[in-house]
Amino acid sequence: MRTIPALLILAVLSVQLEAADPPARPKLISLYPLGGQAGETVEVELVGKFLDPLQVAWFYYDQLEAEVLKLERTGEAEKEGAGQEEGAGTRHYQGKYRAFLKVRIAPDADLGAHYFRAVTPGGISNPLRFRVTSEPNVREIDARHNELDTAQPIDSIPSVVHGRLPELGEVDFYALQATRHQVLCFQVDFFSSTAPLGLWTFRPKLSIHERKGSWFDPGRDNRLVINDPMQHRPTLAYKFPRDGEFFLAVAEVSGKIGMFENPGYQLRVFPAGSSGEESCAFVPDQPAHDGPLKWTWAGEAPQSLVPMVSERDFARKIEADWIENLRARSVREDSSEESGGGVSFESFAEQEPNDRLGQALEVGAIPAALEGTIGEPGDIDTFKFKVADGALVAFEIETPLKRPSFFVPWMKVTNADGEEVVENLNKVWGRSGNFVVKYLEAKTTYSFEKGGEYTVQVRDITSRKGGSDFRYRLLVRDQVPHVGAIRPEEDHVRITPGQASTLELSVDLEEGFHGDVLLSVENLPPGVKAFPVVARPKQARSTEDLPPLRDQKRFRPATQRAMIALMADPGAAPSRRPWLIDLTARPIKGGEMGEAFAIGTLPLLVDGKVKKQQLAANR
Amino acid sequence: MRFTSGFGGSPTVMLLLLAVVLSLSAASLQGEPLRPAGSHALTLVSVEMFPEKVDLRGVEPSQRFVVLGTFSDGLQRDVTSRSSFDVENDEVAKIEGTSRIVGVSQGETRVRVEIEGHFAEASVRVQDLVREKTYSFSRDIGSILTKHGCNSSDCHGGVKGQGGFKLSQNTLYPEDDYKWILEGGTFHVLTDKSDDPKVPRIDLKEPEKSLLLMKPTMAVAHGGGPKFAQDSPDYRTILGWIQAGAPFGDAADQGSAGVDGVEVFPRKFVLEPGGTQQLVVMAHLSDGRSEDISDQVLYSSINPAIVNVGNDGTVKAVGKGETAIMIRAAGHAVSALAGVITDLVPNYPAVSENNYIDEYVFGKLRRFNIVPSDLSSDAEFLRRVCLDLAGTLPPPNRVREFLASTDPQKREKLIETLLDSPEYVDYWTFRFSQLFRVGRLVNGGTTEFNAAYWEWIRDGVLDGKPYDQMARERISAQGWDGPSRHFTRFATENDPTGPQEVMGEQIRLFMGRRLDCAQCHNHPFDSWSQDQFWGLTAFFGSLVQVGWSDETDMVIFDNPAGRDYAWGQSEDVAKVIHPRTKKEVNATLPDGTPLPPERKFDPRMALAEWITGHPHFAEAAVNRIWSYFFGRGIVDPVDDFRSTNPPSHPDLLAALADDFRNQGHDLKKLIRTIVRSRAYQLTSVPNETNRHDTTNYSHFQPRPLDAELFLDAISFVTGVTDEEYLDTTRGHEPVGTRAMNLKNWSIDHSMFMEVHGRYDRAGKPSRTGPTLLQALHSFSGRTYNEKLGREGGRLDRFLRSGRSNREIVEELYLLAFTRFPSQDELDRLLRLLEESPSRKTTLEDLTWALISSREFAYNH
Repeated sequence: MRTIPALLILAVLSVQLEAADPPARPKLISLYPLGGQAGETVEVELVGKFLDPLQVAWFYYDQLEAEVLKLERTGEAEKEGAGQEEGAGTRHYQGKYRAFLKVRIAPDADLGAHYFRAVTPGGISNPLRFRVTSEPNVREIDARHNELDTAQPIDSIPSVVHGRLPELGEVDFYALQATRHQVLCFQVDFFSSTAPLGLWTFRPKLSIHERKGSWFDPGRDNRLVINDPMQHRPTLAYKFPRDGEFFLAVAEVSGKIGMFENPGYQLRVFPAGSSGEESCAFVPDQPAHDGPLKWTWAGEAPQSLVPMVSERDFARKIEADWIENLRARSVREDSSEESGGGVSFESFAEQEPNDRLGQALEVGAIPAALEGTIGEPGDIDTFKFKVADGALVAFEIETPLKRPSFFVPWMKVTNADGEEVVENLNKVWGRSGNFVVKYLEAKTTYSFEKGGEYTVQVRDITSRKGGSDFRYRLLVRDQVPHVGAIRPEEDHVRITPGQASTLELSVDLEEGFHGDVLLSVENLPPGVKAFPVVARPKQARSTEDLPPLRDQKRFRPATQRAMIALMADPGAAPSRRPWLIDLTARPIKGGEMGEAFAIGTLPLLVDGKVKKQQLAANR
Repeated sequence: MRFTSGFGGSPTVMLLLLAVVLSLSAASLQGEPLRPAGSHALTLVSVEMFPEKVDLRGVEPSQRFVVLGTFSDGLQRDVTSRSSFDVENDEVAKIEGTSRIVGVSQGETRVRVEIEGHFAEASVRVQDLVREKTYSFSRDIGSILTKHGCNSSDCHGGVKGQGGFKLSQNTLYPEDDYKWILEGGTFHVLTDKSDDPKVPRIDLKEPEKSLLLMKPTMAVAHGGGPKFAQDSPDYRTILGWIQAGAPFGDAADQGSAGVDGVEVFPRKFVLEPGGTQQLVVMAHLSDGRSEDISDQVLYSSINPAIVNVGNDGTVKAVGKGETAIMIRAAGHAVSALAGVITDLVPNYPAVSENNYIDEYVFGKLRRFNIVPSDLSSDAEFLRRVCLDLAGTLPPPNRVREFLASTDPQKREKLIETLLDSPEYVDYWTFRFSQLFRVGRLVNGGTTEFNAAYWEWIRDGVLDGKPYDQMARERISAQGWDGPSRHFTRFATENDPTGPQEVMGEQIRLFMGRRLDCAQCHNHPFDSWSQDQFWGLTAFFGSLVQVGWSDETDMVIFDNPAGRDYAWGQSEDVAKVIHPRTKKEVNATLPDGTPLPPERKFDPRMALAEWITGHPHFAEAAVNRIWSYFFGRGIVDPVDDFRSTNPPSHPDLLAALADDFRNQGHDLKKLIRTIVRSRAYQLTSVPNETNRHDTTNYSHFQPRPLDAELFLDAISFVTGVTDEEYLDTTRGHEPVGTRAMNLKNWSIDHSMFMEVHGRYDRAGKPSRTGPTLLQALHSFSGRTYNEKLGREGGRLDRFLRSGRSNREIVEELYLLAFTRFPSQDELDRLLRLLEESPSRKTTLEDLTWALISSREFAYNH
């Protein structure tokens, strides 16, 4: 089975060696404005690299269309040799480009973030978000408005204001009229492929001021409130104390965002709902808390394009069919044989007082979903469950309303003697291998040597936090060996007619799944073929030489890598727009094959010279 | 660079201008001396003697008496040498020398002292007289080693000892000292193992050949020089002890008691110039008795320029002022406060009091014959209070308004205005940012952490958060919000800072105590033990963090399992281990209360509650706040409270602390009380009686502005905000941000602030005096020079406005000095301007001279 793919890969590699250097892949850096109102046509300024010739600015859905109006170079070329070469002896222009697009937003376009990419002969760029709103969108004025006297008025509420902070330390002031006890919500967001950038993390700073003056300075403003600087995407809810004029200041915590690509910001101002300040939550398409873009595509794309929600995300929904869904990613006979246990589970709500071990709510045998709220600082919820000798158990925590770092659920399991047997506090070696970094994990597995009654306690990791939104659901279940997340290493595939290409994937094998996984590609464009590949477990860790802290198998699945080869016929038609291909997987074990399931969708671009008419059509 | 162009900018003119400004402004900091004080006769009102009860036991027991007379000026003076002693029954005891009573035979009697018709009495009991001395190593030998400084930190009491011989400081660990003397060997602070050769210091077979005797008598070479002679009592004591078999002998059943505590009498006294005071030091023994050990202790004067002290405990006034005498006994240390008063002031003026602060301050000044300076002028007060409450110079229109006002309540009203001003919030945020060490490099290295921490402080100041609440929030911070950020560097676990340093910082900050010594051994000069130190440290022993996805939102919490080792040493958790016992230490309060098990997830809150409820907390807080207004603490340094560093005004300190507690630890109320006092509002101009006083708040002590405030003041006068410090490697503050509002302290670069001693907030605060660099910077630095001629700056606007020279000079004086120029200053400066070919350059030079002057650079 493995001989053919290996030969194919070898062939691909050798073909690539002989090929001329391809043009560099386009990279999108920023856009301005960051969105528009449904039904309007917006002129958008796009900054990126390797954008010439820009074939198309491609939105995933037809609700938005982009027309390239103009493309120009900005600034000087970067240092020679710093990037890829276009061909023998020819240096690529590595400076930035600015493209001007006309984006038409359909009146019925879905509200929220839409993703688009640039397509050039160099391939498909990274995605950027473009947010469609129902509120009117306005841009900041050209003149400086960095103090109360020059503040730009916000005439209507709700509205969305698009601004930029090109100067170091810049602050933009906006003026608005408010009435006594009116509650308004303010949200600011920066969109950029460069934020966060290494050690830099751009965090908006949002504050409300009034013109009050002081004994020293009659023109001095008085700051009434500021957002928490720790928030990546702050929401500020403010109840105005009186009728009159107030000022909103927008800045960036470091004050240095202008040094970079100056992506601009989007400021949303809207009235609070009936629940007052509580209703000023983040807009739905924005994660409450930014994570690392481990897989840019997954991190940036809408949920519909993500193959499977991570099993280790506190925000995943652990619903009634959760166990059934896990089993579907295995070989049926295998899962029933090994895991035992049922697929349905009962939910148990905590009953206060239950801070102490002796106050535990008895839930009996697993699976069971334990639900509760860390209602106040220091609150502890205690449950008791039973397992059999040698039980392999998984603990999965969902925190539907607040996620870390706001609510950090700490779970500890103790035996009948009060000894701790497992917790969800994971310790891993830091990047340099010389210090320990701790994480609280949303999923923990454990093998109970002895059966019997065990107690599990859930609390916030601090003794300071708690509240009605500190809700959790802890599913205690038998382990289900299954295929976990499958992640492409690239966010697109590019292939040249007559040549081959590869797509590398990493496959998580959860809860002791030790079979093979067949990976295949469907919905390929005409003239392009893909060769299925089988992935088999292979463990390798970069920190193997370090002393083990705790058994990482509790917290991390085994991962294997696989490479799918694709081949394009010499006559395959170059594509102006990317083609969406479907990736599927099938577990195999003991000669049995499980059901196929979708991994996700990836854009594929067939290289080649696009006819001039096509380019012209783009512009 | 100054001195660049034209006549107006020539060095001659510049220096002339500077001389005018400096001489005139310096004159304003001086004043007319009071007439020399005369003297008049004092009458003795009463006498008392110490001790009132004497218990004499053992071999040739004796006790020294001190007689204090209270005179008509209310002061007590040592009259021992002028007193006559009479023993009721001289078969029981007799007086030797001037004031020492010696036991003769068993029995009871009384001693009566008489002077100028005043009498005092003491009872004397003599019992258990013995011929053979029962030795106690810690008392008899330890006191000799202490008295001669053999076990001081610069001799054998140092960490490594000296010449292969180690002693514990001040006989803190007599068992160890005993072992080292008998067996030899050296002591290691953090380990009980030593491979050093062991050389016994005594020879039981030939006691006279013991090193313990031959070294201090220089019979063999001794790097420490001679300590006592062969015929001295100390030599005889050591020899006798060795001849007796060198017993340790502290056990009660061996007839010898240990020392529970040491007391000095008098604890507080005043001396006239050239006067003397005898000290008596008593050891309170574990069997309930007390014993005179005045001859067995080491005396030292903290400030020998004020008083010196002899080996016999006689204190002599040699200068004027107040200082402490430190008394080190074996295993103990105490202090006495000595003040040398000035000549009596005839017709001491009546001084009005604004509140209870004045009662204490002026009461002491009266006792010391120091007349407080006059009330400050309105201009002086206005500038001072604006800088002290708001860190900001008042604008000229406000100066004019205040000076012109005839409202008798204008000072009180101004204080209220300033306390409610946003500049008050700015300034006290700055103060507490320094105190709480807001700095990017010390707060986890991110701009956001720093900002969150700074905002927490600002909110606290703005909302008037009680100080005890702020302390609790800082000490016990968990989670990821503001106060927790100051733990992030420590909590990363690859930081070498140990929990003991984090604990030490909190105690220093909130209790004003330095526990560092107790890390390795019991505190030599205070009552902190090593066990207490490590018990407190253990409250921070479980402080860790979980890092989140982008590794910036680190959540601080306490993991009862403990911290992790760094650097891949072990997968075990790091416990807090006592360096001497090598045992794990559990979190324990200094009073011995262990952390309750139910608080294991929140141990630091338990500690925070203890700290904020302790009397030390309010004392330390008011002392620190006081120091911001008076330039020195009632205990100074402010974070060095200890028995051997007594407060200059203990009653005032106690009253302030009580008031602070009773007012709910309200900082603003405390500040209001301080600035409303007359003591705060005194002029900085001294009089003849208080010219040399630096500790009794008899006149305002001019003090240099903090680097940040100084820079802001220059920006204010020149009308040009500073830009140099705005741009850092990690951030850029908005244009116009004042220096005192900076958050990224560790990295906001400013040459001006560096040379003017900006506190980097990473270590302990320190301030440098005037330096050559500062002088050079004022001549050629951009802070001074680029601002002066800046288009759009203050001077540029003045010149464009068509104002006259007089108007501009007046305005510049109001801006810089908060006062109008004197007629003399005005005349001379206008003459210079008229003669100058370049008005602009000369005005620039004048502005430079103003902001280079001491009057500008100081709060006075």
